[in-house]
Amino acid sequence: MRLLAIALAAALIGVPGPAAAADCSTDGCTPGDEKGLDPASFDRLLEDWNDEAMTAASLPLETLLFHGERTRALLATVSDDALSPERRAFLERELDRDSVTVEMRLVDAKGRVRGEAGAQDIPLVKGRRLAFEGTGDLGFLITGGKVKRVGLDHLWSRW
Amino acid sequence: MRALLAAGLAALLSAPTAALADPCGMVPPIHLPAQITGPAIQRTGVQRTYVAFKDGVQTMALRPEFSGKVSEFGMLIPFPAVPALRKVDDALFSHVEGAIDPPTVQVTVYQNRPYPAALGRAGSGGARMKNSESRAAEGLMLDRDEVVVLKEEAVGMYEVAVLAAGGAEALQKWMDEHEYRYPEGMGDVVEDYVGLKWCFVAIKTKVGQATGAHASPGMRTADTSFPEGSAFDGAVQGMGFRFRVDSPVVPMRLSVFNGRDPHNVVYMLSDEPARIVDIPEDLVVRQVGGAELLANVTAPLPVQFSPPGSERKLGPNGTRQVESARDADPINGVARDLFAADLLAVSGGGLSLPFEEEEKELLRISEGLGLRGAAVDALHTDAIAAQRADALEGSLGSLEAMTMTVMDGVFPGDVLESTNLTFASYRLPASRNARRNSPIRPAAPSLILYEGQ
Repeated sequence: MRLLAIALAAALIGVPGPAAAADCSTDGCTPGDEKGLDPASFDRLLEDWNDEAMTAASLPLETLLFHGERTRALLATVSDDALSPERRAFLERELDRDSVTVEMRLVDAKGRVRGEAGAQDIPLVKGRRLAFEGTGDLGFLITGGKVKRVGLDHLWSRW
Repeated sequence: MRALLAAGLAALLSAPTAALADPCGMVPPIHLPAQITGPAIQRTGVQRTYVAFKDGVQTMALRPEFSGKVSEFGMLIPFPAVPALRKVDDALFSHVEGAIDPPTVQVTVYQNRPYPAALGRAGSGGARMKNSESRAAEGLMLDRDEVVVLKEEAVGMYEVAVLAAGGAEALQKWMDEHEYRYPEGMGDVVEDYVGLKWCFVAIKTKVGQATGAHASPGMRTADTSFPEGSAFDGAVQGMGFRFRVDSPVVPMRLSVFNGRDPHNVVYMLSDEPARIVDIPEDLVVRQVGGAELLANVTAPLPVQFSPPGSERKLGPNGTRQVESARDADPINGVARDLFAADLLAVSGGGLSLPFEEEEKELLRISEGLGLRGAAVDALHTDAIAAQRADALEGSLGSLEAMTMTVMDGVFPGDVLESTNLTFASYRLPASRNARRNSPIRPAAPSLILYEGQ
């Protein structure tokens, strides 16, 4: 499912998060990485999220979304007692939003567009390379980077 | 906090009679009022200043080291004319030492060994303004409360403003408003420089922590600032200033705010062997003639074989290894390029050379993208290597007629405080002109080879 379409001229960056993210490198948490989110932490996050409004941008929910595939894997082991069907469905829907559409324009100091990388769907977390077109005398330009989910409605990206 | 770090510069005059009338000084970190607690910015280590003067063009370069709160770092440096600014290589001073007295490559040759293997490199590896820029400043009739921004630049990790001020209070107000660090308590000295119509280079740094930019749950904005009270201990990026002046001058009056009687090392490259006026002659510790200096930065490093004569028993591979180890570039290549660039500027290349401007542009781009560090510097160096080499080709010739003088020791605080340092002609007696073995000089490689290798 496509999450967002974003036009990037520079990376979005943000404030350090809670301890749950401490095991993640700057490259994010590799899907399935045991160190990214351990089961005990996952259980605590579920408990904390149960105390929050389901659709609110709470830190427990956003932490679960940040860990993406790891959350999905652990969610499969959760009993119905730990999470209501409604919340489970909501979390699964959000976890299914696992790709983004990225479009870039290269803008110089005078505001002129010097190249464009057309809209492309890329998966969250995984690094991608994008080539610019229409760069003219700037020559062949390519950029690499990735997008991560840091909130219910917020993305982080660096290129 | 009001602490401010400004590097100390020595005023240099190569002409014996050219004692400047109270030229400007450089503003080091100011002292902290007693009621302010917490670690202040303090200059640490030896204050090293490189100065080159020839035909009315002067270069000064420094790389301050400090310890204290990162948010307090800043510099304020007066100049007689608007200088061209640039970043200098972090290895500048170690390579200058390597140019003055290059280390010797030690090669030990053993008789035989079934599978010869070289161990490789064991070592670690009152001047008057006169040019167009300064006339612009000189012509300003400023009110007491007026400050004019002559130039603003980003130079790597620094944000730099070149200012003309009508008075010390106006300068302080402008610097406070623009978050530069004004060295409180030095108003009288600043007024002296205002009276001389010198300009001021105000420098603040942009430092941050990368972890604040890492992705994490719940993040909304980036905060790369250091936590309140974060400390820094070490050297910051070096800067070079090139400007036109009748006689060389390095302002150091304000350096007393870093503490009295600081240990200074001043490297002076000039037409004549020199000493600093009013500074004890015994602080002149080394003089190297231009011909020797030129050979040091262009010829292979000296080599010593053990046992003597064993070089004749080396095979082609061993000989190649020795030749490679004698490459002087890792020892003094930065100094060689600096000398060449300064001489090129003198010979008409302009205060700021094209490749220097190119490097600054790359620095600005990298800083804009939040990229900084040794790896980024290396990319910049590589990007302009060919341009730099082409520009500097053949520009070392006039080095032969110059002299490098090294003054090393504790400079009397009362002299620094009361007057800018000036220079007089002075030739160091041969009996005292001993080789330097500075601890900051890069070490020469050591090789262990085998006969026939």
